[in-house]
Amino acid sequence: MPGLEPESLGRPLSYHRADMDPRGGGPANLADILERVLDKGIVIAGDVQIRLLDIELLTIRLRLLITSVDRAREMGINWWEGDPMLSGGAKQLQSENRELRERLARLERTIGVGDGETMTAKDE
Amino acid sequence: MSETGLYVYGLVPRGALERAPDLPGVDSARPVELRCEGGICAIVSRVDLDRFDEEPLRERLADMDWVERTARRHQEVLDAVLAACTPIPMRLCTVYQDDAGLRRMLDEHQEGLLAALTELSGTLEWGVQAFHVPETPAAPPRPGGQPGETASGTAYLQTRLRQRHAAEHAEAEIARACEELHDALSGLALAARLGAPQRPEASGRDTPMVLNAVYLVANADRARFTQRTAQLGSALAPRGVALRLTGPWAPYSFVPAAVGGAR
Repeated sequence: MPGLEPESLGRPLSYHRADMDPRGGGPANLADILERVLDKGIVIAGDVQIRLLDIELLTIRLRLLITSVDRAREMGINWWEGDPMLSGGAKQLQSENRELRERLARLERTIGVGDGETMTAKDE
Repeated sequence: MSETGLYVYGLVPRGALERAPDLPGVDSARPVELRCEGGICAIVSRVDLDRFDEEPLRERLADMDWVERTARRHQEVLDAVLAACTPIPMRLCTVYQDDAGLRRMLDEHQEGLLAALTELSGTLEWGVQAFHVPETPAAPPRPGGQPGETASGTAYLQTRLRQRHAAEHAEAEIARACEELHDALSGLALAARLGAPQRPEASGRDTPMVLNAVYLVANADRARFTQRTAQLGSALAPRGVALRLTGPWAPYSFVPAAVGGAR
């Protein structure tokens, strides 16, 4: 077992997860795990792998859930914007959203319910 | 009996593990096993294709409890390997239909994977997160100033302005502290990456995360790295910054892009 300190031998390393937070310890934070297993593990497609699109959409949702996007932007961290897969996916979701809202607005105008124009404008 | 496939957790150099970790796999606690081809062994467990084929998987990915359970199992299997060697971690839910499919993949990518395993050998990933722990917030200015005083609009605005300047100063000070921290730790690491800070709901802390960094550290420098992090933690505490060190992790963030990694 090269390179590791003797005290880690023969014991599961998860107990050694260093955490300087006195309230911490125990199993690793779920967000820290998901950040890695969904986003960072290598992708060599299995022959029964879920199509990449699915896991990528899940990853986008989790990224949005996990990461504080506004805070990151303030600090000038914008890695996702340089990630063509991710920003492409996010843009696609946005445009789908917009399209759906426009369709809803048109439908509402057709049947005379609500104020379609206002709704579209407000939600943009 | 339904058909089974092979779920892959990660890859290790052949001979690095005497046997597979004695842990339950992601599906029905089926045991973790090794499958070797050329110079590489895959850490795998059998999964039911009724549950792990493309269609059923897509449904289960919507179930966060299932995702959490599976992600934790995946992680625990890789953790158990870290004491013996550095694995290349696979992304969650990489499944091969049979041994032949897995062997074909290992064979096709043998050269690149071996190079990546050699490059990462003797290293581990560590996470360092910094949180801004604000001092007790100043009481909001009251338009009336001191009790009994007549309200003065000018005094009120001046107080607000002072507070805003103080907040801006504090923010710049935190950013400087993070930069110093990241520089110091990068100096002890083979590679470093910054990620977006996590929301409080995800980090489990009620104070904002201001730095979410990962470092690839040689095992020989492990003690130096963790001790330096502890030192920096003490030094930064009076500046309103608290640190959280996580690890060691399989080098998720540092697998070369040449073999489908994040770097």
